[in-house]
Amino acid sequence: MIIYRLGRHIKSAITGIFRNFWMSFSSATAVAVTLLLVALFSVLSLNVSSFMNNIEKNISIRVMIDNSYDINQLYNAKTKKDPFGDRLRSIEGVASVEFSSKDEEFKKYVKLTGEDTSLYERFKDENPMLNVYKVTLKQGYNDYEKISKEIKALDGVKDVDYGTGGIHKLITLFNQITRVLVFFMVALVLLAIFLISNTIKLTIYNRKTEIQIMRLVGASNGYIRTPFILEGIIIGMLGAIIPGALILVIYGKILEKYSDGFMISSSLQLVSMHEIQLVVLGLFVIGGVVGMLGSILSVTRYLKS
Amino acid sequence: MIKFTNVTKMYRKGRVHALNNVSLFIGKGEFVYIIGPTGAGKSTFIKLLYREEKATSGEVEVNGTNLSKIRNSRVPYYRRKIGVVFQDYKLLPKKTVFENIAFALEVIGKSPRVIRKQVLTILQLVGLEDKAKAFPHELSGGQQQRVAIARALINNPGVMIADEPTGNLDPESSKEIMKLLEEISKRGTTIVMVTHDRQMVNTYKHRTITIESGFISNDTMGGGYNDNLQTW
Repeated sequence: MIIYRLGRHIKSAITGIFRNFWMSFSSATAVAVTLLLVALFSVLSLNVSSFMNNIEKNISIRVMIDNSYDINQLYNAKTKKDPFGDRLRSIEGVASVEFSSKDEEFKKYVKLTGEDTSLYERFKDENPMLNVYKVTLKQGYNDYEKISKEIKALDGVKDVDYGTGGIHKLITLFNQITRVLVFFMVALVLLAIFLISNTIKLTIYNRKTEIQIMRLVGASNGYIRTPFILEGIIIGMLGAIIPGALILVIYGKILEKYSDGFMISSSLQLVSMHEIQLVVLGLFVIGGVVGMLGSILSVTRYLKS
Repeated sequence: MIKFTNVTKMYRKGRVHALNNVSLFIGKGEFVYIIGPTGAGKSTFIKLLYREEKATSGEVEVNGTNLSKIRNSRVPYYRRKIGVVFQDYKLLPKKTVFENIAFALEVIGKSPRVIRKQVLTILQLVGLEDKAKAFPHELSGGQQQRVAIARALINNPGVMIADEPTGNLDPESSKEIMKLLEEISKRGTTIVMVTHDRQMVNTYKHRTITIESGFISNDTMGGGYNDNLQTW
C-alpha cells in the first residue's frame, strides 16, 4: 500500500515540477545561490578555524612569579610538590601547567640570543629572569584575557603575558565576519523558502480541482500534502547539485595544488576532502529542508481554507 | 440516516443566517429532494452534510457520525462513507473515465488489483463499461455525470449527496440520471438531491423538503412542488 502511494506521490511531484518549469527553475536557482554561499562560507570557515586551532595550540599564558614569593609554593623537582601549579590547574579552562625555573629561563634566553653559554655561568648569581609557569588552555577556551586576569589576581604573580595580540584580534575579527555572514545566509535561506513556497502555491493552484476532488472522495490531508512537500524537497535538492559539484571540483583542485600546506606550510594545512564531502552532504540536507519548509508553508495555508 | 437537531449556521460572525434552527430526519434508503430559491440555504444544508461546513449550533448526525463532534483530521474518513455529486461533474479532464473513478480509490490507498475490479463493476452499474478508456470531453453531459456518480458510489456510501446533478443536462439525459439515482436508492443508499427542476420533482415523486430563508418551509411526502401534505 505504501509503495503504490509513494510511487503515485513521486510521480505527481515530478509532474508538478515540470508543469511550472520556470517557477521551479527559479526557486531551485535561488536555493543554489544560497547554498553556494553557504558552501563557500563553510569551507572557508572550516579552514580558518582549523588554522586558528593550530595556532591556539601554540599559544600559552606565561605567568611570571615575583621573586619575593615563597619558593616552597612553587614546583619542586625533588618532592614533586607544586602548590602554586595546582592552584593554576584548578582554574576552569586550563589544560596544562608547566614550570620553568629562573635558571632554566636564563639558559633558554642565553641560548636564544646565541651568546656564549659561559655567560650563564658568569651571571648565574645575578640572574635577571623570573620563575615562570607556562599555562595552556583547553581547546574551545579562547578568552585569554579573562583567564589571564584571574591568574594575575593570584598571590605571588608579578605579571602575566599571553602571546601576541595579533592572533587575538584576528580571532575577534573572524568572529565578527562570521556573524555578518550568518545574517546574510539566514536572509537568503528565508528568501529561498519564500520562493519555493510561491512555486508550490502555483502548483497547488494548477491542481485545485484535483485537490477538491481528493478532499471529496476522502483523501487524508497527509495524502494531499505529500506530493507538494516532495516537490519542495526535490526542488531544494536540485538546488544543491550545482553548488555541491562546484565545491567538490574546485576544492579538489585547490587541495591538489597546495597538498603540502600553504603559506606558513605546517600551521595552515587545508582541511581534507572528507570534511568537504560532509559539507556537500549538508548542502543537500539544507536544500531539502528549505524546500520542505517552503511547501509546508503554502500547503498548510491552502488546506486550512 | 440523517438527523438535524436545531441546526443553525451563521456566516460572517453571525451577520448572515444561512440556516435557522433546522430539525429533520431522513431515514436509511430514503430519496429526498431539497428545493427552494437561490440563496435560501440549500447549499449550506448539503455542505453541512459532507462536512465542508460545520454547524454554528445544533447537531448534524449522518449514519451514526456526529458531524458537530468529529475532528477536522477525521473528516476524510467520514467522506469515504458518503458520495457527493455536483452539477459540473468535477471530473479530471486529463484522466480517462477509468482513471477518474480509480482516483477515488487511489487516494485512499487501494491496490491496483482491487481498484481495477471495483472500477469495472461500478462502470457496469452505471452502464459505461465500454467507455472506460474515453476522456471526459469525449462523453456527453449525461455520461459524464454517470462517471461522477460511479466515482461517488465506488466506496459503497450509505448516503449520496447530489447538488443539482441534472442542472446542466437535457431532459433525456436528466431522465437517465434520475433512473440511475432511483436504482441506487433502492439498493439502500440514502439520496439527498438538491434541484431546481420543478418538472422532475413532479414526475419522479419523492419526499420534498423546501428551504426558504434558512427555514424548512415545507416537507411533503411523496413529492410534488406545491403540495402541502406535511409541514414541519
